[in-house]
Amino acid sequence: MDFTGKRILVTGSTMGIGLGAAEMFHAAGASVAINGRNAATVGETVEELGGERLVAAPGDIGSIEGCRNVVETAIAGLGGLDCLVNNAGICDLARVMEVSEEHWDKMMAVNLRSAMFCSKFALKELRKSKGNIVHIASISGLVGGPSDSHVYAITKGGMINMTRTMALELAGDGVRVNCLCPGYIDTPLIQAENEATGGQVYDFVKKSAPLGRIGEVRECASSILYFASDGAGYVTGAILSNDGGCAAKASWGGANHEDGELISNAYTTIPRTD
Amino acid sequence: MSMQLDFSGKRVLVTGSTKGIGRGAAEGFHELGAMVAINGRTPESVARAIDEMGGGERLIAAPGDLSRVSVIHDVVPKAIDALGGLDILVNNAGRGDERLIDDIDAEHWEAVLALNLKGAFFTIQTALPALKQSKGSVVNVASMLGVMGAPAGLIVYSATKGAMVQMTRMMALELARDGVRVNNLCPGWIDTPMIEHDNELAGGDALYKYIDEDCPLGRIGKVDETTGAILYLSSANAGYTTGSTLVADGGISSGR
Repeated sequence: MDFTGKRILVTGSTMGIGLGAAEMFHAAGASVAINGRNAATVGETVEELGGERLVAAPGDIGSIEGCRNVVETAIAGLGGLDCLVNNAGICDLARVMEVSEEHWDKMMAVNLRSAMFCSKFALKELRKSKGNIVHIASISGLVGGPSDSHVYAITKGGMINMTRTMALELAGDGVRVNCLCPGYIDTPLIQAENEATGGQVYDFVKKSAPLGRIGEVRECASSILYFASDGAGYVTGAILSNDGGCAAKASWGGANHEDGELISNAYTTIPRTD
Repeated sequence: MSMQLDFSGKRVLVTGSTKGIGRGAAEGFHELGAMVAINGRTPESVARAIDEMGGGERLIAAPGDLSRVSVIHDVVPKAIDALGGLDILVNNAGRGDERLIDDIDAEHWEAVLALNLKGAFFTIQTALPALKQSKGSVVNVASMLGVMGAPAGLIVYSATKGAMVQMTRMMALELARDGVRVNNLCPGWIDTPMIEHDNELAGGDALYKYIDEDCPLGRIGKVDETTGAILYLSSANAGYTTGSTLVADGGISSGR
């Protein structure tokens, strides 16, 4: 894929999936705007990626004004926009009875409202370039699962369906809108959690993801580049899972059954995960 | 088993039940013996609905604007007290104002999210202790626009409804071991005062004609048909059904 001359903004691109996508776009010739809450961290990322064809667009997309500033800074620095990747998001945990109004509002603002308003502020340029938008949702927006990330999952479910209506509304402008739903991906956050639990996270994913392993950041990045590429020119309103098969079995928590084992045996040997 | 629906002795709260789909469900529960709390934004609209439904001891007024959490914390416990507990909660209150993306501002976003999604969540959270006690059930009234997109003007609405579909799955799993079921009804075009009004605005029965052409079943849905679905999901017949999304849309979301 060649993105020479293309102008890309990836929100939340100082680490994890966002950074992976920014790196891959950049390596494919694009000019990329890097975003994160902390200006110093954004500066470091820009430096690490080599400085050229890179724009620093730091800012907190948790507020609507923040979304406007980030998008306007990126567009000014890039000289336009061909693709917006709405990747920034947080995953604070709370079960139903623990959800406070403050928690609810913060999750909605950072994960869902930001995607809506960054898209709105980017639209003028995207209409000009007949560009596209990629929303990064999650497997937890597709199927239910362990309930600690309750409101996170609600925001991602909203994002998935927002993708469909946004795709239809903007189709007449030639702007495509798609959505990627990653499963367990080997990001710094997951790595830290894995280390903190003595390797339990990787063990868990190995047992629960049908492909038997955690996903690589570059695998998500290549899905994002595919959506952004001309090769996906007829793809809009699409929801793509990148989760090692978890969505297919409607579970991001339950164990796989052993190879070659009859399913009736498998179900009697799976330990309950109450 | 008996497929006969009987809600005698059941205590029900239907939000947004002064008209349309919510009103239909409230009437259905009431006719089948339940005690029903009626909710609408103003005390007058609630009093009128109760009056039109014939009044009596099995109808409770629970007025209040559920787009504010402080109001939920006031209205919902009062309604549960008046009902003497809660067996069935129907989260129906919602709004569907149309707005193109360039015109979506912070106010619009917050107003639609506050009622359609946040209101539903905090109503369930507030009612949860009572529902756990009764091993009750929740029906969230989402929309076919929770499982598919709309041509234009409904980005925020469809985001709230998609989120509601997923909220239903998450809640169903978290509350399953408490014996509380949570399901979704996704109505399509239903002949409510809201659609009647839109049709009048369109002129020449344009909306009704569009619906007849667009819908595989060739007609608009009736409120009685959403009522039937809500009563079914709330009944013992649906005792093994949780986290499900039932579409009542004449086939539209299956594809045309």
